[in-house]
Amino acid sequence: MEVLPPRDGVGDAALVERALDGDRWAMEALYRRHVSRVTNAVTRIVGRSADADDVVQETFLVAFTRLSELREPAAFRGWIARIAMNEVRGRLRKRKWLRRLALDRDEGDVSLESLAADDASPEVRAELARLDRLLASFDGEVRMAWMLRHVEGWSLDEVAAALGCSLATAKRRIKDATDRIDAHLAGRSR
Amino acid sequence: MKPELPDPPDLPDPIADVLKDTADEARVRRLWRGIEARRASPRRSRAPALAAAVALAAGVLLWIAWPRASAPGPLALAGGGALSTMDGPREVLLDDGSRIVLEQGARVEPLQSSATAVTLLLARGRARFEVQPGGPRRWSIESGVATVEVVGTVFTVERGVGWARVEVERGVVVVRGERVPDRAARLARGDALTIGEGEIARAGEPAGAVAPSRRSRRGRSRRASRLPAARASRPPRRARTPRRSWRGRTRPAARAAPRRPPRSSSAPWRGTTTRRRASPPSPSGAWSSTC
Repeated sequence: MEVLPPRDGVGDAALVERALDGDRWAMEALYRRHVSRVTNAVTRIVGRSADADDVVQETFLVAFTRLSELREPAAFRGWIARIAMNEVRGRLRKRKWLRRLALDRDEGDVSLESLAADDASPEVRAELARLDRLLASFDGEVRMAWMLRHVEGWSLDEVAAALGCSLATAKRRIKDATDRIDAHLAGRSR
Repeated sequence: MKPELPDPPDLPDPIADVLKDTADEARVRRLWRGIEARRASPRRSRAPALAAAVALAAGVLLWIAWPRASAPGPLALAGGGALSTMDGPREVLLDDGSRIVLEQGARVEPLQSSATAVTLLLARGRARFEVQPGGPRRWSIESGVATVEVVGTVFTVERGVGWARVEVERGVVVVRGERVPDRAARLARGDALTIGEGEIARAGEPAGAVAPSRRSRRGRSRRASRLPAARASRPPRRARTPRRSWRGRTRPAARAAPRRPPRSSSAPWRGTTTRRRASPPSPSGAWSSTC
């Protein structure tokens, strides 16, 4: 495998231009530059590693197929996040329908608790498990917004762009989720 | 006093700080290989197949859920109500536009009534059936010795003891029975057929036009003698001049015909000759034409 240049050496815009010319190295460079961020977000939201693999592959496949549609090559990071969240949304919708038809009874194999770092304390793990149960009861859009903001640490602008909604909508969804989590934690502490 | 539990730990923001990275090198490589493989052999679009499947499913659902308001149920009376035993004299109008006129002493019983078929039993007497042409049901009239099958026509069936008579005013009927020549006869407008105990008469044809079987020929005179009860229940006959049988004997017309149809001027079937059969003439006294 070829060694990729340092991150600051070549920007996304240049890689996109080269990928558009059919440069396979540039495509892989783009992939490696963004796959970690996309994979982490997708895996934690989707909750199934197999589904997450499909979503990540489909995301980059769509991106490379429609690379010519990207008007600002430098905006590849936000664009790939938007594609990924659209794929996640489709996957969650499909799962919802399959569950309604009793064709999908699998529980997710990935949770925040299962992803806890090795050095995480038992209290942190317990808190993550509690958060998992709470997030499972949230609407998909609300959960996605909250997780992108408070689990992945994306900025509000990035969350709004990735979800294809306005900044105000993104804020409202995140606040709704935060309020519910706070209310739950308050009720538990009493 | 219970010791107070400590507050749960605050999770960092972002929470990813206490989570493992899910994109390890092995996974990244595997995903990239998958992407390259799929780029090399692009998956065919499933949209057409999916659209066809959805259209098929929609069609099936539509077929299942489509209201069957136009599908007829069992035959019913025109004013509503189920079909039941009908005694004459009575005129019965049915919901499909058909009409049954029962004469004095007639009785019609429904044997079967569905969306596609209706079977009525003429238990006794004489009844006129006006079956709506093109209707959804196949009509059958049982008259003891014969079955009249019809789609849309006007005809009369009369039943006596051991005999029956079918007269067709309009359309075509098929008469089936053990005593019908070839077990089935097609009657068109103006035709009439009498099926008795060894006796068959077809209006509009000369005596002997329909050939009975050899066995029936042999036993015809014997069986004919067992017809007084049937004759008694028939309409009065008009005096007829003696006729010659195919054997060259002269026989009274009253003996020749097992029954004679009522002679009303409104009966279009009377006196018409519609068909001839190239078959041997009938024996004397066995059966006759009503023309």
